[in-house]
Amino acid sequence: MMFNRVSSRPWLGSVLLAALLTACASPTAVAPTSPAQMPTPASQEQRAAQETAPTAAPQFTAQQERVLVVGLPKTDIDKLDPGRQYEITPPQIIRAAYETLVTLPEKGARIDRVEPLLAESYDVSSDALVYTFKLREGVKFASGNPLTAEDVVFSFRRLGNLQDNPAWLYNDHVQSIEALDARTVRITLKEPNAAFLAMLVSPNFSVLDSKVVRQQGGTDDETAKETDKATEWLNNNSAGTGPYILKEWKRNEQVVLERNPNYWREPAFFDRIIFRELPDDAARQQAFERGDVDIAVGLDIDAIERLKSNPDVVVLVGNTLDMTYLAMTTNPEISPELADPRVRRAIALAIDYEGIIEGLMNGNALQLPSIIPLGLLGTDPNMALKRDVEQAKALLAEAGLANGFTAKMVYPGGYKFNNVLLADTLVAKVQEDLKEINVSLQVEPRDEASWRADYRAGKLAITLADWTPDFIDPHGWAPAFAVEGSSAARRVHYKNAEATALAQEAGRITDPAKRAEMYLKVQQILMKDLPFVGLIQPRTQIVVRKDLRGVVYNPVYFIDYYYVSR
Amino acid sequence: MGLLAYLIRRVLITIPLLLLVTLFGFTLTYLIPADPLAMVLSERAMANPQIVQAYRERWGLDKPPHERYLNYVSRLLQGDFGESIATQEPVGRDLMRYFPATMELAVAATLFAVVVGVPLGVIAATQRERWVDHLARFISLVGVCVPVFWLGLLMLALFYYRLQWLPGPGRVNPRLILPPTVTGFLTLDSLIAGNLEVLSSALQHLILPALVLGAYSMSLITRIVRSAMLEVLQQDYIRVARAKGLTERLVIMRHALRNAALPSITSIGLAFGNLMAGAVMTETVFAWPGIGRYAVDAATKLDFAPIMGVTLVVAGMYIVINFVVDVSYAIFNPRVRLS
Repeated sequence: MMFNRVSSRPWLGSVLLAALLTACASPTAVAPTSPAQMPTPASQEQRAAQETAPTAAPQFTAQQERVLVVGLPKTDIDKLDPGRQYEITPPQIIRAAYETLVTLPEKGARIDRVEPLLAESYDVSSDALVYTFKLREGVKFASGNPLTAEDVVFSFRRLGNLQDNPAWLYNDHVQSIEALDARTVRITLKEPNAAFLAMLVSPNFSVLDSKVVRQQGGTDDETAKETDKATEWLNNNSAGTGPYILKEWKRNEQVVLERNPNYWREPAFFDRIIFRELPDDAARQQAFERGDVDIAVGLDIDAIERLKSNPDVVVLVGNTLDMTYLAMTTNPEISPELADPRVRRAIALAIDYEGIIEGLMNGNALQLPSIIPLGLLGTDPNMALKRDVEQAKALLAEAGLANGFTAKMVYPGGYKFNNVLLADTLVAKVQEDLKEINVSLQVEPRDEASWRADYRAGKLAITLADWTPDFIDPHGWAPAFAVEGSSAARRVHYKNAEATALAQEAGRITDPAKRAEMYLKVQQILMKDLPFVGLIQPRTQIVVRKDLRGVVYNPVYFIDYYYVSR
Repeated sequence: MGLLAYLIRRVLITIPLLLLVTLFGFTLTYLIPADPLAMVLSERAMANPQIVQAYRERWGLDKPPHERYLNYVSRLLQGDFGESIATQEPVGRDLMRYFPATMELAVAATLFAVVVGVPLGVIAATQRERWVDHLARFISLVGVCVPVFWLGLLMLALFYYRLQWLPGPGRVNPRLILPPTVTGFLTLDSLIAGNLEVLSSALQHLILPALVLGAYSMSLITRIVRSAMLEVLQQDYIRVARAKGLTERLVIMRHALRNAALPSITSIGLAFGNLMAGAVMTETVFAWPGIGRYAVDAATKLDFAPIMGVTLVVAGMYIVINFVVDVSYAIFNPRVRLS
């Protein structure tokens, strides 16, 4: 199940972070193809010769065409308009058809800085308030129109004015945007924000061909939320500068991309990329083994273990930025017991983290210390709690609950946290662990929607939940969990003035060392108060046919298919 | 009263019936204590009042329930099924795409069920307590008991993965360029366009899911035909027919089967309706882009318009099936009058 909207940040979904393996061992293979690899005239002749109706309905076969087939689990693709989509699967498709001002270095393998893409260079004012981008020369959209600063202004303003799912990325941060000349864009923020460059990597900040989008009924003015009519067209076509063009989207079935002949760098390798939705894990695995699928996403752990012995298969492993965590209310009206920090600490100490990772996740996860995923600025795996039942019992006794107590845990039955860990299984494990300190969990499975509604409304005493990244900077996590009244903190009624101040301030300064120190401090406070207990940060494994080169995973857009070749 | 009057009356009854279905569906959806936006918007967007406000206005969630219902019904009466909140696409167009895919599968499954189930039932009845009968009963028992997803995976593992006789999941080879949509049945559309490559691929892709989806109906039909035949074969008129010296073949085909047809037709009709329930699992295993998966998506997202659209289409289908069953009664048994 890939429709994990659960947490806040679908677009970065179950994705991987640094340390990613590549299918291609050669570090120099950045250029996806050389002219010699492009279809030769001979192969085209051959194709023409075999076609029965060359003009009306060309019928291709695999031998004549370079086709890449990606087998996806049940996907959450609901729109492919970069200004509206905010789910887990679409970014990899949007990234192939559109590009952003800045991107992640090394094909996406590094997440600790950004580098220019459509921008040739950029400048950030020392107060992190004004961002100026100089656009690359000679970049053309798939339509042949040249890229201009106006296109950037149009795309970003449209993102904000559509008032759709990702609109906050623009509206919450940008004060103004202007084209200084045909190749210069200046963005002024509402308040200093050191994470803004990381946000610009998001596919929602894709640069669209303003001429084409306007022709299709698109607009960037304030009325866009009512008057923009381009989405239907953008769901089935693309208007970007990317190496591929969106040709077809059949929901619940497949997405087809074709090579962009006008691409400004060397053309991409494949004639077509087909993303097939194969919702059943076993059927998808069979399709991969039969050779009908080249890259299989989301196979189950046993199948992957078996495939590892297959010499024609490479299994890529990477750490996601997803997290599954335990949340406990700090509000005595909801639970007088849990409102006592000693009790929350006792519960945190009673959890068998190793058992969860080894037993439930087969080792495919890291222990998440607090609420910022490991690998990001200001994180430290050594902070993680260790199980200590004796100390937990002592803490409960200190809180006057030596005989334990009963708490109600509402959770989403049948739901998979971060698409990998079945909620019911994790709940049963936590319930068992807490029995050892005489804390009895009365569990109540609910449908996802009503669980989510109650959790958001701050009505739950203790529950489990998950979160996916919005952008790759600790500022995407710390404020949400540590700042009083913010989206996650208010669900457990968490209030701590020091944590609030630190989490807000750390986003405003530019010095990375200082920021790292502040984020560490925020996590230390949270680990003292423990309204949230980090449990796991899953690893993702993706199986790839060995003859594919340049497959690299990254936590923003999964795979940059421009670099993939055979 | 002629057939025409009967037909008109049946159609007229359908309208209030479907309206009741919408009222029922709306009430149920409304009673679920969850905000539909919470399933569509991200945490960040939910925390942003402008985005939430824009969604509430656009989807009419800021209006009182009776107004929303009347709005929906008035659009419906103009043939507009509304739009999905999640995809912002018109539901009418979705139904036109997903429903034919499932219908094509269901028709193929029913065809399989009838073509195999009826003869199997007849043979079992005539060869009562012989090995053929035991085999037929065993097959029908297995067919009724085996979970659809398990059978589907087994079939795929055997015919697709191991023997490589048939293609795997999907409706057609994804590399083919498809003919324009006319009926939504891929087999018919490719036939209309004269595209034999697509037709052949579509037919091959249809075999396994139709077999899996039809297994339950086939078993049901076998059992019902068998027991109906057994009952009929005890009747005096069969004895008379035999006494007249008719061949056993004629006795079975003309005298017994025609009389056993009535209960069988009911069960075939019901089985066809039941296919919709089995379709979700079959569609998942075989990556079939049908109405079953569409319905599940809509339900989990509390997406009102698609939920209602699917409900109406399925209700409509049951009405049509009942009608067809009633009419075929009259055809098979002149004693039954349509009134």
